[in-house]
Amino acid sequence: MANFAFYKAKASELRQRVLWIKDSLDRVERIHDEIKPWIQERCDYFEEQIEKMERLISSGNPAYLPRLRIKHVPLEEQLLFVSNFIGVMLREGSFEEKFSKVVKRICHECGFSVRDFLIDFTTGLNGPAVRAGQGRNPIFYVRDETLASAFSWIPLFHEIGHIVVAQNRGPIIQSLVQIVREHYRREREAIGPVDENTRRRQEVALNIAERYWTEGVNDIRLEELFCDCFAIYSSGVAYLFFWLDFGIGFEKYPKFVNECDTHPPFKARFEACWRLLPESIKTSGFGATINTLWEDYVAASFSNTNPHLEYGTVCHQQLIENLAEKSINLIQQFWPSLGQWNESPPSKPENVGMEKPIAEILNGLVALLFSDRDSYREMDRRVLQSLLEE
Amino acid sequence: MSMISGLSSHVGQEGELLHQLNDSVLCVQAAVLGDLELLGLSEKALDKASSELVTFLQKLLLALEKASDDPTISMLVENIRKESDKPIDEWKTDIRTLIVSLKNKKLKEDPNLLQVIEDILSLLSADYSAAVKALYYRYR
Repeated sequence: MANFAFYKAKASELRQRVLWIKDSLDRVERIHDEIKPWIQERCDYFEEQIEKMERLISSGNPAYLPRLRIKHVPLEEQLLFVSNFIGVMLREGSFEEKFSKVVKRICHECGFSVRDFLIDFTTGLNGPAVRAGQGRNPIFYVRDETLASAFSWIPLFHEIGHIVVAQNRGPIIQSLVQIVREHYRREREAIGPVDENTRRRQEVALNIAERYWTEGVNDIRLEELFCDCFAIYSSGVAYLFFWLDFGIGFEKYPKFVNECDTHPPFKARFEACWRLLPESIKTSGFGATINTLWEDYVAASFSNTNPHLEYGTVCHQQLIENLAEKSINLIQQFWPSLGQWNESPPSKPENVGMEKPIAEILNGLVALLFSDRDSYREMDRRVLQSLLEE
Repeated sequence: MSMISGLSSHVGQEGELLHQLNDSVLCVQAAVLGDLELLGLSEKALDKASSELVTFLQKLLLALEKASDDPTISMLVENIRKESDKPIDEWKTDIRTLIVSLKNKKLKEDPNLLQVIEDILSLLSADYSAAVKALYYRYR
């Protein structure tokens, strides 16, 4: 059953992060007498909770799925809290240097080089982000969990997308704005024979939706969607799994159109990515599992909608598909050397060499999460050791 | 208090409550399904869980009737009013029935009553997840 497969994978991933905390604790040189036992006690607690999760998973009874769903989010939060704590204690100024090798390598594998950039761990507590602009050195904001598990490197592909956009923002955004304008022009024309008031109301709704994407700084939402397309194009199905994991854990309103958020609704982002996934992966065992999990998640989520910006009008399926396809055309036009990562996760991920592209390594890791947790831990450790420490 | 520390403390309190309630619900649910032993739970743990749930439900009932000082319970009441289609009076009746059933250890006779606490947990969990997202994932 797909949901149990997800939580089994989740339990493995959480266990790996606890191991990192325990290993790191041995490496911390200066620590207050009271802090070490507190972190050890936290680790015992995490392990106990993960064991409880695993017991529920073994029962195989779907009645316990809500218990699993609720149990995993506080665990994630507390793990993030303790990881950040450890990260601060471990920091010796070398984190940035270690991690810049990974960023450079991903950029290189995406077909372009970024020679000068900054990595900032200290202000990255709110999740990965990048600040990039034409002619400016990009700054990557990352947090300590990127050193705890390679799984957290997946969103870097989206962040690198922002650097890609910064190099040609004008033409990229203009092309996407054109798609939006064309879509709403057609929608206005398609309003049937209705009375004047109804027509006016429908036109106003369409105008507001068009402005959501295009007016002034709102075009940042097109950039965010483009970066998702870039990430799925360059890192494959691993990125989609990452989003699913994030949605199940933290996104309660996948269809809510938030005027204050610079990102489009979660559902639209996921669906743009799904659209770009090759058919062979969509219908493979792994793709089908993700699809089932996605449908279960959306069905179980809250259907809260913004009365002023209705999801179906703002993120019409055809519009999102057109934007996704245009984004890929633009990537192929501006970065012809960037190949699509369109392979299914490797069948024997544990054998993937560390000289292989990071996209392949991460897809292998995600596949192992579902198939063999012991090998997942081993591979994650190997990835961290070879790519960060060497 | 800064926004971050405010959020952080909200996340801490709500997470703890959610975690405790979830474990208590697991206990009574396992008893209803005859899985106590399978899940390594005892009769003693079941008594403790039932009593914790009753205490929580009594607080919630009171908050549905008049305002509560507990910020987590107040937030939950606000969410019940905002998100749920079920009328408040119906909520109150269901919660009272569930309290009686838990006190008299009669949940097995009407396991559908578990849905009441399931709905409450679902609201609490959604709010908690949103707060965690705001605290840790503002850029995503």
